[in-house]
Amino acid sequence: MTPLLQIDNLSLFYGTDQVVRDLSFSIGRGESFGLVGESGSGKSSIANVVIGDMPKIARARGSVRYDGVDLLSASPEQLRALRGRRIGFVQQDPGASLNPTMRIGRQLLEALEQSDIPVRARSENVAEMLSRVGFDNPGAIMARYPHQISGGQQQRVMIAMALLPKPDLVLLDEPTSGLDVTVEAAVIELISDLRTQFGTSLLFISHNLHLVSKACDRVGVLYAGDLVEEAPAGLIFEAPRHPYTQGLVRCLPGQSAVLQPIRGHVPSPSERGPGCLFASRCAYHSSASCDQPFDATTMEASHRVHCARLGEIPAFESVAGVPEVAALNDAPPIVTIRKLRKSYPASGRELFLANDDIDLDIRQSEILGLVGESGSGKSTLAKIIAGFDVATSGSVLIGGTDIARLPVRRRKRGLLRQVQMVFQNPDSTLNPTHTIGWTLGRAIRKLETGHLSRQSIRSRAREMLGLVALLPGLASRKPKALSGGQRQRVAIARALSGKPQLLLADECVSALDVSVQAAIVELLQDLRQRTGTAILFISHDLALVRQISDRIVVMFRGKPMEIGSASQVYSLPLHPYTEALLSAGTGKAEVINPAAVERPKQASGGCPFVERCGRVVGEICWTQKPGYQNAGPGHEIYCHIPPAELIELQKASHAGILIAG
Amino acid sequence: MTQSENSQRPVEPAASGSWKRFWPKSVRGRLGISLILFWVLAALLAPLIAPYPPNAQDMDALSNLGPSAAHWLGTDLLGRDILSRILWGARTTLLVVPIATASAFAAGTAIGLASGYFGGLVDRVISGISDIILSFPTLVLYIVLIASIGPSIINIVIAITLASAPSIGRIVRGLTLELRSRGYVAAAEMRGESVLFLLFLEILPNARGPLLADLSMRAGLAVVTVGTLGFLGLGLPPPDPDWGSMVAENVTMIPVYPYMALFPGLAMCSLVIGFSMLADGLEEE
Repeated sequence: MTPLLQIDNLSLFYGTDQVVRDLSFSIGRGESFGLVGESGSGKSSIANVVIGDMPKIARARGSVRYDGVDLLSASPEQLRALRGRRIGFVQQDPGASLNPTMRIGRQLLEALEQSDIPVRARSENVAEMLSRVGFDNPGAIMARYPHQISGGQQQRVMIAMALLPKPDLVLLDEPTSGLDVTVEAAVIELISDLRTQFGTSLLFISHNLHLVSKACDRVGVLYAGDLVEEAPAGLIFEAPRHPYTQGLVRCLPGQSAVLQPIRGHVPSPSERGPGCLFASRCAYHSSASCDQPFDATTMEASHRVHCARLGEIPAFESVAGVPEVAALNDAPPIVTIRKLRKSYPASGRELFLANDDIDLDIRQSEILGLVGESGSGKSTLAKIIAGFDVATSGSVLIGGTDIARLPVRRRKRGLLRQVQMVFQNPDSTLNPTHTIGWTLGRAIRKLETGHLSRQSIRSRAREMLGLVALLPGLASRKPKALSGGQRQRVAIARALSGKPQLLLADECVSALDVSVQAAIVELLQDLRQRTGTAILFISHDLALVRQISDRIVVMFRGKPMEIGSASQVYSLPLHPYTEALLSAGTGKAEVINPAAVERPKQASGGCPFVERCGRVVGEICWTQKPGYQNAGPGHEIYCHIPPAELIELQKASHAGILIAG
Repeated sequence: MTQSENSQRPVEPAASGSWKRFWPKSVRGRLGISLILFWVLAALLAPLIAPYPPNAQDMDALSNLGPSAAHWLGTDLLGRDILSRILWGARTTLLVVPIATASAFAAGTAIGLASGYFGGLVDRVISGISDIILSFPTLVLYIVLIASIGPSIINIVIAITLASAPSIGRIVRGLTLELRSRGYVAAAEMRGESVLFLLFLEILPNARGPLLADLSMRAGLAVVTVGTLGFLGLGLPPPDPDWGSMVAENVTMIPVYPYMALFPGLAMCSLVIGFSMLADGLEEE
């Protein structure tokens, strides 16, 4: 039987830049294929080719056959007949794909506009589909506007819309980016579940190797427009053969004990030669065999590798394991947070509590990881410490000064020097009008002690660039000339120029590709060793936080749920919320009801987690705030259930899963 | 920690620092700036290239007012050479327009930056006053202002500044609101930079793209304004030529001698088109 989608030797050019080179793969009926790649790998361009939505300057060569029709030479009428009806498309940002002025029900009905189903039966069809994507009350959802439902629900609606005309192929372009881990897990679950129900083929495009291998049968790894490896999903982690895939697996947090970043950067289209594109970053590169065009090698069934020196590449050795456990740091705290509370006026008379009586110490030269889903108040905490927001009550003591209600504009130089911050977005962290040297020089002049001559500022700026492993020559360049990772390094150098006591890193690597991310994490750990600066590392990525942190705080709705060393929190997650978060990451157990994940209401008197908790013990959880219980040295949980009992409960549910499985 | 040389190569080559950077890249922009440069040259060289003094009357031409070999664009009813008057008139326009536009931009940028950055009460006061000024029909505002303070270059500049600063302020305010949430502004705040430093060195340079396009657009509008004021007799006192007053002087003659009002009108028109094409070109980039 011919495959449903067959791409042969597809090359794609934007102007003179080649973005995709000789790409071939196929998707059989009912099969799911995942495409993984970092930014600039051309994965979105491929999606655009399949749905026939290429930018005007694009030229494609090769063939893309969908059920016998060549999409590249098909007429607009033919394409229209395919798109939306036989090829479904789920886009990255559900909020932007849904029309904010139309009710959900009407938008879904539009998806059936061209179908053979009689008009009267359509509403029923929509309702049925909504219930299949996990809505208990389809009627209520259909009557709502997109802004009235959560991001996870919007994505479910998008999936329902793509599936309504019963397409043969659904294209998913980063369907879960921007969603919280627990919601992401539920969406992935839903996708694989629906696939078995409908027998739809999937083309799943993502930067996240974990997700793709979870949701797909086969995975293709893209690098700079080349499909470097194609293998069954299981093999990608177990036995990757291409040096790039091996490197990618090694720099995934949670996959190995030590992150090993891939050096160098993805070549821009103008830098690409005829040979292997990974050559510039490959340890096995030899110009004799790698710099000429060569064919992909097929290993066993359906495992293809595009590498000229495949025979010499050693098999992948997994260095799986847990990150090294740091000795318990009992240095004195440099920041003491007590009863910190921040509330915003919300709708009606209610207050929204972004930070709810937080007590926390940040010790000298430790990396404190702060994890939580969006809306958990982790950024609010960072903003208060940085002075971009002021607390409603409570205190943040640093060197004897309370900065909880001291905005940054009113802080004296001595105080500013002690707390610095690295921001999330590498594109806006550096001023595009000024050179790197100017930016660093300015930070040094304002934050260093004593008066410095022009000459010494310049040499200090060079020194700072060296500290973050950048060449001094970059000082004369503007941010536009730097890659995202390089910009983030400069931002770190800028923050460290006054030798701060505390560095706030709010999602500072979340916008970067994994290989670059690993390098920044390595840099932060290295800098902590050398400068003794404590780092508050805020992230939604659990595996990453574990990799970098000494201690971890798990936040939920403004309240730390569990505090402990990295190994305590991850190897023995006691609090039901931590347990749920970690299980969402691995897909092992589902302790929380996915439907309840959406749109939580503020609990009135009891535990903030009660509505989503799978281990509610009774009335007490709803009516009474729990206290912190000690579960070990430096390990605290915010729960009514005693730690010993929680361990028992977890054992029991694991046993239950084993029996059920 | 080692890092290969390769990863440190900047992603893009440095931009060339020559004046070519400022030459518009789009065809529209180039056409626009050429038109503007044409009039700038004409104004600068008027004493050299104008065939007659602007106020000299040629009594011989009165019998034949229309275009001729001696007067390429003809003469007006008083026998003054229209070509010479247009060239000299360009001087008035091209003196008033840049000064007025620059002054309006200085004022608009200052209030826009302040209300965008500080927000709150500052924003409400500035926006309130701006709204009051903007609620007047512009023409009425000009007439009232000039009539009360008298026609002169300075007063025209003041009138244009007062009338257009509020709308420039609104644009700058919007840009500032967006730019102030950038990481680099926060980083500057965290190193204790002064407010003026933040506004003029961190925020304003990044708003220059849209502001330059707007600047060119408003220069075009200022040409129209100067023309209108001249037409209404609120421009420079006669007999010195100015395009607006030239149209006004000859407007009654349009049925008989249309060229008298047409040529100064065309001059004004081409300069306005030049500015708007430049604005379009700048916006494209």
